[in-house]
Amino acid sequence: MPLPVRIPRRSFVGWLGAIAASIGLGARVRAHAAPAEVAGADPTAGTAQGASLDAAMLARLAESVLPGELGADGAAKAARDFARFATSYRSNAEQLHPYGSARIGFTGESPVPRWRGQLDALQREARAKHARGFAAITAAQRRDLVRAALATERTDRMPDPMAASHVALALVAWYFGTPDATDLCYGARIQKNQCRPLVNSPKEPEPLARRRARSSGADEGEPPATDAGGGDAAARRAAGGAA
Amino acid sequence: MTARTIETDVCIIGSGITAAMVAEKLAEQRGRRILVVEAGDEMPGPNQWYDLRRRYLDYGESPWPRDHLDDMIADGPMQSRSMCVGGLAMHWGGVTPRFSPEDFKTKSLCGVGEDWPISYEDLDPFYQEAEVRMGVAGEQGPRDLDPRGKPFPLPKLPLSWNLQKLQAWMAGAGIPMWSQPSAKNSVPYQGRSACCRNDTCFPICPVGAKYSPDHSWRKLRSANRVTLLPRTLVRRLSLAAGSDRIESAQAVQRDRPNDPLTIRARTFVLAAGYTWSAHLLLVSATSRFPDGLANRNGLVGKYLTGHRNVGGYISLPIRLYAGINEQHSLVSKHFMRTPRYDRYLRHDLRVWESSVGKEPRLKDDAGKLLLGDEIMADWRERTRTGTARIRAYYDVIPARDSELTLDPSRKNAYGDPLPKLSFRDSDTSRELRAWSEERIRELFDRVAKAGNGRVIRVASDAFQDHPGGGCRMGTTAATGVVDSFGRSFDHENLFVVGAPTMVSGSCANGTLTFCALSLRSATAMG
Repeated sequence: MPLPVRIPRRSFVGWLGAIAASIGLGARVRAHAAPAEVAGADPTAGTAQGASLDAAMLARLAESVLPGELGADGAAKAARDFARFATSYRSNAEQLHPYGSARIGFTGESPVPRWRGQLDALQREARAKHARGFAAITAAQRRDLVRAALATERTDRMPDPMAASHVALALVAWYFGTPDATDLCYGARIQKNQCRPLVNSPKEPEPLARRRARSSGADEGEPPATDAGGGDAAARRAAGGAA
Repeated sequence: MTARTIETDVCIIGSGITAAMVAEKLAEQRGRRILVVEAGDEMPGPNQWYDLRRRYLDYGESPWPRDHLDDMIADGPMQSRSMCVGGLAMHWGGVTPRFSPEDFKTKSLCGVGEDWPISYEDLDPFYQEAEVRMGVAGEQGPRDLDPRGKPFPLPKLPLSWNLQKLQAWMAGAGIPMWSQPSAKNSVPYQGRSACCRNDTCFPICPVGAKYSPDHSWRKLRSANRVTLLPRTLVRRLSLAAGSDRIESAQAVQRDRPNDPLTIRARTFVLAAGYTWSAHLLLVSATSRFPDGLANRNGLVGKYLTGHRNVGGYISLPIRLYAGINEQHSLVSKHFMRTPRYDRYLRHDLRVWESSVGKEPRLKDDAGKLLLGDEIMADWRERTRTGTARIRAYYDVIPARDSELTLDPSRKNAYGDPLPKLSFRDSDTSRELRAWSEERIRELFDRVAKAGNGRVIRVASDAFQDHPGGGCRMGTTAATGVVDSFGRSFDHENLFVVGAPTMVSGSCANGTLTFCALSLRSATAMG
């Protein structure tokens, strides 16, 4: 089985459109645009879908498919964050255009309506097999239902969450792509893609356990470590002085 | 229809990084009117960068939406569609190595390609100037490999925990490596923040630690040192009657398409990159210059150049933490300076941390679907060891017919023919290509073994990166479109600056060299 291999940047962006098309995301690609600008068109002007996902169902799903060490509260938070992520998606937004190619891609339709249907289907399956709702069955029973729903999944790689064929897969892919998941895996506070002091770069990342044992949330000079928003806030402050 | 005319001293066409360098330098002499003309749009300002980055990370949205014009497109391998205020350097990675002295005399030293009309020593002060203007953080490499007249203006970006481990590994393989010079602030500089490892230098630095040309434009415009006209496409350059001097640029403003704009200037500076600089000269053909302006010798659009790469991933028995600072790298000029092979091959070498092969996955080796704790356990097991990304750019000697031509079958919104790009290797490079790539693959195998690791995969990229040429410099009008200062041999008040003037593409990222060449050109713009 091949190792999951990240595609290099230049190749990745070059193939983005083709990949999106092949996985059925619905991302549109214009290889050669019409020889005139589309007056007034702003591909980034698409609005977030706003369509909600069943919060209780998502929370139970998160408990079933995310690491148990998150606990119920951690899973519930992950479910909320995922729902916010999913419903903030915009269709028809211009994607980063590639190096070495003339293609311009745009995000496709939101999968949220489809995912909502899949959550409903899990609920129906739970009732059909266990005579109880998805929330009332055990985590092991929920996982079995999810496995059955994903039985035809072919890839061994984590998909782009918004391109996932199933909401459970999207939730898994989204969570395992977060900085928190990476930190949990390594048992260390790496905080990838967050605003972090350059001076700490040469140091071995601090173990999570030591981090958690401290009453204070942050080292001197570091952004708050409460959640992903801590780094975001620090970056915003830094950006304020950028102009 | 209302015809309009703007009078200025210097008209710079294009607003990318080389235009910014030239404008900054010229603006230091007061009393000179500088007009910058940019076909594309203004880009979002710093107060929007963090949100744009967030949406890029979450959904792959472009952090620079509408940074291109739908109808300005070349057929062939374009480096980028960027056409906006700031140009492609709005989303460059900020990597700023210099070329090496050998790049400027490959013919006399190695018997391949052509010598440049300038030497590394000629360019050294302008490399330094570009590094100061942008704010380059760097580390002096071994003197014999990394010659430079003055220290870097900013302390090096520190080597991350991962890069220190990888540096030790490569030292064990006999290859010295050091911190990649980068136009990223290691300390606050010129009113911009220090890098805080957001790790999205490409395509957007949310804190402004990476230099991008918009920083220069904001500074120059707020001080009223330049006037910048966005959304204004220069369609033609026109000659003065009875003279070879450029008299005016004919432009169209997209907001006033029916009101043609004429820009008259004493000096015209073409800073529109390797595609659109040559394109404008070709579409500006006249009866006296039927093959295009500056093109008496037929060299406009010729000798497009760049470099290819061989890249790979090496699994190493070292505990690395993917994500500490993925976009920063080690660099070595070990294979750029002293000949290491029995045939012509020069290449750089870079090493990064990587998560390849160490990412969470959905199925185990037996094909079983993993969920929750199973994914985490599998992931933890595989991250006990690390992965290095390794890449070598090797130089490609261009053929004369590595070229940009006009394609009359494809036109922009105003009926002008669009460019067609065809990159071609010289006979020498074509003969060397397979051999060169095999040597680099062997090198990857050798360094992997030196660290008790293994190559996960290796691939060659056919695309020529950091392209240049098309208006190359020469010693005489027979060998170049422009002289070593970028001045056209055919038109004394026309300069072409940056990437288009390059004779060859070296084997390292080209942007710093584009900038140094542009700053040297500016000294000749009287």
